[in-house]
Amino acid sequence: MTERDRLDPFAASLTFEAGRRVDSGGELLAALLTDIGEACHAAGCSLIGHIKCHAAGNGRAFACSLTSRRTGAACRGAHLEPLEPGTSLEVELVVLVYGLSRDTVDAAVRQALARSAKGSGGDWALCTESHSHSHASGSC
Amino acid sequence: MTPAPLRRSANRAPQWPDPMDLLSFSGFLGSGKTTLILALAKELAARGHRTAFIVNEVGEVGVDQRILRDDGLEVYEITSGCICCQMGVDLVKTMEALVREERPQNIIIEASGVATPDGIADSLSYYGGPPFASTRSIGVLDPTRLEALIEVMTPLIESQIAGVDEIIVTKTDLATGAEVAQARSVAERLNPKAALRTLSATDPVALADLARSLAKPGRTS
Repeated sequence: MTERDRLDPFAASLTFEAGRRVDSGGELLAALLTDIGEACHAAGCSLIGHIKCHAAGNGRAFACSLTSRRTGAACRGAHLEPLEPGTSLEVELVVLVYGLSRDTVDAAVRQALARSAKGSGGDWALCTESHSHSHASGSC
Repeated sequence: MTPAPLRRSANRAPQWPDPMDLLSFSGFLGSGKTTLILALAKELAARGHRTAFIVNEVGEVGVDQRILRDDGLEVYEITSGCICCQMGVDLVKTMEALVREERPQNIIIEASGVATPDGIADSLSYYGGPPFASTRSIGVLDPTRLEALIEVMTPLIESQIAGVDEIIVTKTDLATGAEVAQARSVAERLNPKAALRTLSATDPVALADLARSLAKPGRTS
């Protein structure tokens, strides 16, 4: 395994509290995934494997996914509904990118969460993080 | 606790009231496996089939299984490892348990994006439950990233293409014509015997057609 095909899976459970109205939960999370992808790219990732999340709250659920900067993020499920102030989303986030250490990915995620909070007027809480062992691309 | 090692299966239970079909989906991370499986699940449900889903994801948090559960599907999850290697024992034990408890007519496996079809087949060779009436392995190929994928991880991508019965080139709405042509060419070169299709999941008619095709029993195991 070389540095460029190193894959350190990153996963986190997050909570978003809307401070003001957000027009679309999907837009919020698509922007977050895009920002994480940009941060990983800037940090030197050799390939985006999959950056994805599942969100649930107020009786609805949706998921968003990013596999490349060119094709952008896409969402499915009830992602078009707005988030009203005071409502929250429980989000499971997975970041699978090649060529970065998990600490670097962790930093990219935290930066993106801070920017998302500032832009949306909401609060992100990173509740739990889990890091499983490395999985080399050719080891299976 | 580490599970007891398995023995490769030679004699399987000879009698089973309902024939079972096994369909496994492999393909790199984000290639479109979950989207295809959701469409297939709808088709199988419309036919009244009992279907069990096994989802194997990289990492300790499963997103794909939550997406499938959002659609009301019964999902068995295997996380924190790959079913083509260190989690092969879990795959076999999960399958044997769900066959016993659920008696499904179909088992659909969504492999992790770093699994190889040959590795999955090797894991499944230890399965000792009732035999399958048919088995098929489907490879899902994202043409928009194929060049980059081959550059970074040639052995994995080639083995994901070479080891399957059918190949589905997805995301044709996002790919250029040249990228789709390249994906077809690579697939035909690495696996000339595999059935090859192209698909845009944004085309509901094409997606439903494909799901109907996949819902038919495959080759005899």
